[in-house]
Amino acid sequence: MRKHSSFRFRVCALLLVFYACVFLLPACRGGDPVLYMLSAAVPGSMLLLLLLPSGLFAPDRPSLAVALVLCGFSMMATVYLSVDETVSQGIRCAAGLFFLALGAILVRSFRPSVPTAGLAGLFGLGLLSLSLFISDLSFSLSDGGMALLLLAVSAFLALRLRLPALLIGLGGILLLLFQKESGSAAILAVSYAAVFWAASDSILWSGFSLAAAGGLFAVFLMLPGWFVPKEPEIPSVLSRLSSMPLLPPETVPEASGVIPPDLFFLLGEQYGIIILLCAVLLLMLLLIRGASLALHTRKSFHASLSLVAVLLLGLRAFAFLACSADLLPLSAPAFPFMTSSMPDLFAHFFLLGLLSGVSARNEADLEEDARLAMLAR
Amino acid sequence: MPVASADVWKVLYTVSRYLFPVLAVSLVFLVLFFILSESRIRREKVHNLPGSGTVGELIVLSGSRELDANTWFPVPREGVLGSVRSCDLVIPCPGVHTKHLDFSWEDGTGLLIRPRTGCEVQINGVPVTCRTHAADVPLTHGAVLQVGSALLRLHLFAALDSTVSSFRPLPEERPSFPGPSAAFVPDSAQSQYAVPPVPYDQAPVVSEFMTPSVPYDHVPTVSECTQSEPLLDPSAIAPESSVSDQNAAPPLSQDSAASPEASPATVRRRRSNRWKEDLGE
Repeated sequence: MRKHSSFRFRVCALLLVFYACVFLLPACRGGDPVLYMLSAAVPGSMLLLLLLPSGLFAPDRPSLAVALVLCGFSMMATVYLSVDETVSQGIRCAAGLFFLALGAILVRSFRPSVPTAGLAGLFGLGLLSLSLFISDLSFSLSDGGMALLLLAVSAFLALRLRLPALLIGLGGILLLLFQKESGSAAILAVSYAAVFWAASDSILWSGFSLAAAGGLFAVFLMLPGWFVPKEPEIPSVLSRLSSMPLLPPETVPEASGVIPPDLFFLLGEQYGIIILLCAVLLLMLLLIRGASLALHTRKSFHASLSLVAVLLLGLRAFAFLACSADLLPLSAPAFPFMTSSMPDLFAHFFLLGLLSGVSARNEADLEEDARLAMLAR
Repeated sequence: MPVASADVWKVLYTVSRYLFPVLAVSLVFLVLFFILSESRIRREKVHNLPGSGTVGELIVLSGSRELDANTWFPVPREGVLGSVRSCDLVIPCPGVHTKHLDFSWEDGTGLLIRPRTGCEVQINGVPVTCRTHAADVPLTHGAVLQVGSALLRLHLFAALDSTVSSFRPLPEERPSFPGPSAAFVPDSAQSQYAVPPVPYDQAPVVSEFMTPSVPYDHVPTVSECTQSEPLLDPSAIAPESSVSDQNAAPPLSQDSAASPEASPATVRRRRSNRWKEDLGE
C-alpha cells in the first residue's frame, strides 16, 4: 500500500519543481514580485490540494492532478506575455475549484427522483436559453447547461422515465440549434444518444432518441441561412502547427497586450509541440480514469454521470482538435481546462466534480463492504 | 529588480528549454503510474472482499432441469433478472421471460422488484406486477420470490435501517416446528414436543426447568476456568445445527462434567508455570 501511494507524492514533488521553475525563470529576468509570489503560490496550492486528507477534501486525486497540470499549462502560456493575465487565469482556476466541490457534493447528495431531475432539467434549459432572452450576452453558458441537462436525463433514465428524458434532451438540442451553436448542439446530441443507449437498456428507445436528434439537425440544416460553414483560418492551424518549435524557442517571447482566448496554441508557440502533446495525453488519461470510474460504479445513475463527464470533456477536446485542423466546418470550442473563458472553465471543473463525486461513492461503497465483512467475521 | 545577470539568465533559459519538456513528459508518465496504482489498490481491495458489490444472494429453492435447487446467485445492487445470458441474474426456468424484472437495492427498504410489462412475480405469495409500487413490497431477508416456476429465497448481507418511514414489513408468519414425524418417534419422545398449553397461574416455576437432571460434581471457580479451560477451537463449532438439535437437551454426561484433569491434553498452562516446567525438563 505504501508503495502504491508513493506515486501521489512523486507527482506532487514533480509538480512542485516544475511550476516553481516555470514562474521563477521569468521572475529572475524581470524581477517582478508577482512572479515570485506565483512561483510559491501555484505549486504550493497544488501540493495542498493533492495532499489534503480525504476527510476534508475528497476529490478523485488522479483526475485532480491532471486538471491541475492542465490549469498550470494555461497559466504558463501567458507568463512571458502578460503577468496580469497569468494572475487572472490563476484566480479563474482557483474559483473553478468551488464548482469542483459543488459537483462532488451534488453527486453525493443527489438522489434521482422526479422533482430533483425536473429541477436540474429546468436549470439546464434555463442556462441554455439565457442568450435568447439577453441578446447582448458576451459569454456562453452552454457548457454548464449541457452538464445539468444530461444530469437530468441520467436521473430520469435511472427512474425508468424515458419519455421525460427524451423530451428534456431534445429540448436542449433544439435551444442550441435556435442559437446557431451547431458545435455544442452536435456534442450534446452525441452525448445524449450515448447516455440513452447506455442507461435505457432498450434498443428501441436509444434508436428513437438518436433518430429524433438527427431529425432535428436535418430540419435545421434545411433552413436557409441557418448553417454557414466556418471559413478556413488563414494561416491555417496546420501551418501554425508546422511553424511551432519542438522545444521552447531560442529567443525569449516578448510581452504583448492582446492575449487570445485560446490558450492551447499559445502554449505551443511559447513552449513547443512536446508540451502540447503532453496536454493532449494528460486529457486522454483523465478520460480513461473517468471511464474506469464509470465501470466500477454500483448504480446505473452514477455510471451515467461518469459517462456524461467523460463524453462532454472528450468530445469537446475532439471537436477542438478537429475544428482547429479544419476537419469540421465549425467554430472550435475551448480545450478543456485551457481556456480563459470563465463559464467554460467552471463547467469543466463541475464535470470533474461529478467524476470526483462518483469516485467518492465508489470508495464509500467499498468501505461499507469492508465494514460488513468485518461484522460477518 | 532582476536577480540574475543577462548571461546567467541566458544559461538558465537554455537549460529550461530542455528541462521543461523533460519534466512535462515525466509528469505524464507519473500521472499514468498514479492512475494505474490507484486502480491496483482498488483491485486489491475488491480481491480481499469477495462479496464486494453484492447485497446478498438468491438461493434456488426449486428450479428446473437447468437450474438445480440450492444453486445461489450473488445479487448486485442493481440489475435485470431474466432467462437470457445478458441478464445479471439468469434464471432458465419455464415462465421466466428473457428480461423479466429489474431490481435495485434501496438503503433502509430492501430489494425493490419492478417486473417488466406483461411479467408477474410473487413475493411471499403476494403477486407483484409492473403496476405495483415497488417500495410497497420490498424483498427483505428471508423473503421468497417466485419467478415463473422458480422459487428463490433472498439472503441479505447488507443491513436494513428499519427507521425509514417508507418501510412497511410484511406480516410475519411464525414458522411452526411440528417435530419429528410420528412414524419414527416413540410416544415418549413425541410427548416431549407436544406440550399442551398451560395457564399462566399453573405454569411451573422456571427453576425446575433449570435444574440439571445430572448434578454437577464440581463447579469450577473463575480462576480454575482461566487456568484449565481450553481455548475455543473454531473447527469444533458446528456449522449450523438443525432445529431438532437446538430443541434437544444438551448431552450432559459424567465425562464432560468431570474435573479438568480428565483431559490433560487440553489443559492450558499458566505462563509463569511454563518457564518452570520447561526449565525443569
